[in-house]
Amino acid sequence: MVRLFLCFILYLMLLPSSASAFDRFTAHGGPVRDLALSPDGENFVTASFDYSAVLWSANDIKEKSTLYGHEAALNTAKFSPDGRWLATGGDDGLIMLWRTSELKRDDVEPIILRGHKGKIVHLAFSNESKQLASASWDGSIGLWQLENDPENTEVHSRFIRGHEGPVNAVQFSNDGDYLYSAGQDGQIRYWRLASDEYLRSVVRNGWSISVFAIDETKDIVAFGSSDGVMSVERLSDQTTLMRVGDERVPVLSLYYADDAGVLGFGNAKGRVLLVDTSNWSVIRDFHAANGPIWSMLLMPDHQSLMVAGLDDFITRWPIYEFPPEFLDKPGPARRFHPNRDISNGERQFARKCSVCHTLKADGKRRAGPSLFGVFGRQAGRLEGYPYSPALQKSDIIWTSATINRLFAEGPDKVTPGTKMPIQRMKNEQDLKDLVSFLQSATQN
Amino acid sequence: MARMKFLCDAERCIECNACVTACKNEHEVPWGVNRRRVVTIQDGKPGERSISVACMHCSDAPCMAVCPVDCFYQTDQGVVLHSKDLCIGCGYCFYACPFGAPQFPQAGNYGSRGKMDKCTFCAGGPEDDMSSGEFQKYGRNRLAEGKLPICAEMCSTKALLAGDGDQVANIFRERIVARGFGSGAWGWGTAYSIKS
Repeated sequence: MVRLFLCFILYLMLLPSSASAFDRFTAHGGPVRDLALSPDGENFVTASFDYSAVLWSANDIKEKSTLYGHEAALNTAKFSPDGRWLATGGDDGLIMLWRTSELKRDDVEPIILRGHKGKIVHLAFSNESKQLASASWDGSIGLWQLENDPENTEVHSRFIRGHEGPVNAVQFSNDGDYLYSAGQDGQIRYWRLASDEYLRSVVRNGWSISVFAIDETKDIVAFGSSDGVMSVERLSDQTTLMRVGDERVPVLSLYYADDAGVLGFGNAKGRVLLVDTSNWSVIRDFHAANGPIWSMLLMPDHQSLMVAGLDDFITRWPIYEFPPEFLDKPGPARRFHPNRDISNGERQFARKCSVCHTLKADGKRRAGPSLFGVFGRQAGRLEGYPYSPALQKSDIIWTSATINRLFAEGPDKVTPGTKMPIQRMKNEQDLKDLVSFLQSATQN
Repeated sequence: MARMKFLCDAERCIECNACVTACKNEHEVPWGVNRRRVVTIQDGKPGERSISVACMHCSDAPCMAVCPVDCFYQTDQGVVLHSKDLCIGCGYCFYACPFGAPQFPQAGNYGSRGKMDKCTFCAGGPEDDMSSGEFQKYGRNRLAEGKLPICAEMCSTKALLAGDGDQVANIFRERIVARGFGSGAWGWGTAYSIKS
């Protein structure tokens, strides 16, 4: 009996604990929208709501550098296949080309590509790294020619329209002569780039297609849609090879690792489905987050998966070892989704401001500057925060009156040219409670 | 208080797009924004269906759950509305919505970052009822005028129903019994499976 008991204790000790099932890594101060691995597998990059991209070492998951340039949230980041460029796109409608050889420098200056009139949500390089395509919610696909040296000659651009509504994702054909694009109109369209001519739709799903991947060599198209469908079809004749999704939960991320034989889907409620591409059988089906999975990345060891979503952190999951039940308890409460009893002023801050601002002196990275000691401070003067030129020249001193005015009239009126999104608080009591809370919570 | 709901009977929708046009006209919705649209599934194949889709004003609205700035609220009639003064145009609600309801005008239409726009169930927004400010930002407040959404009123085949959820459900139930086949109420379970 004693031997049996000891064996049971030993068994419990050998079981992987739920705490070690995954590892979380924090560098950002806002939700993380995209993950991308460098072609050599040594680095990966994260693109975040906090207006920055972070370069990480893939081996030990350490932050190497932070890239500031965008004046709004970043949605996408991609490395060129030749490893020369990192491209980022954001809510400011800009694409920034960063030389990968300079990513560790603090003063790295990107090449800025302008032309879109809406947020940029996805980017793709051609295999030869000579073209870049952008998907935008302005309803257009941007095409940027990189064959001439972008550092010394202006990048030629053109825009293709045809989707009815926002464009969500793009991918070049293997030879770079054609382009696939997915949009809210539920279609994956196929374009001839020599004439920018729409040829046909390889998928007509009806519901918005958020993500897709095409492997022309293997004749497959995989896509995820807003009605919750995770699907793989034969590209040539649309024969269904795999179809999952009866929950009607939008599918938001897709990762196709041809070399590892793994296809992954992530949805809006944190579900991750990993599929073996040799026979389309499910490898793992688990919940990796309390909220959306916006991006995923198979790490170079092919043994772990990095996922990103609404939290500041990214999470690494060992694919083949973790206990399948996962999140038996909710993850940590997000600062902008508080679940405890707090005053109305604190709630207003938490729900309306905290996604962009912190109250701490150490000023964790956020989209906006720390509010610690904000009362009495001149606008645009907090050291270390990359203010817009307009704020740097501002003579406003932050007081109860000026903060009241900021939210009564809006940042576009009080601080024109600011990077701050236009927000107004019409509820006078909420605004009064918020300012009162800030007065006590931001004191030195 | 009635709980307002939409129902689109996919067996009746003929993809005429009258609902889409009526909505744009009633609310003077800017170019590039479609608060309502008609989605066709199984296009050109057996089983093709068309469904008129807009915000369904879900009981447990996923847009509200992901919004980082708390711009959504639900009226006592169950209508999910949002404040364009608070919205920062992040687009997270677009990704969360199974109906693709949130729309994002191009830069300049509602400020530099593009405030989200969506169906209001013809119930306006947080501004004063039937004020010019409310109309400019959110469109006409037909509910305050004692009317139901224009899209359903304009539907010639009565595929699109809008109103008190119990009455809508009763009408649809009678239809099913009468025709003897197919539920066709696409999205009803997704939107209203959790009782409010």
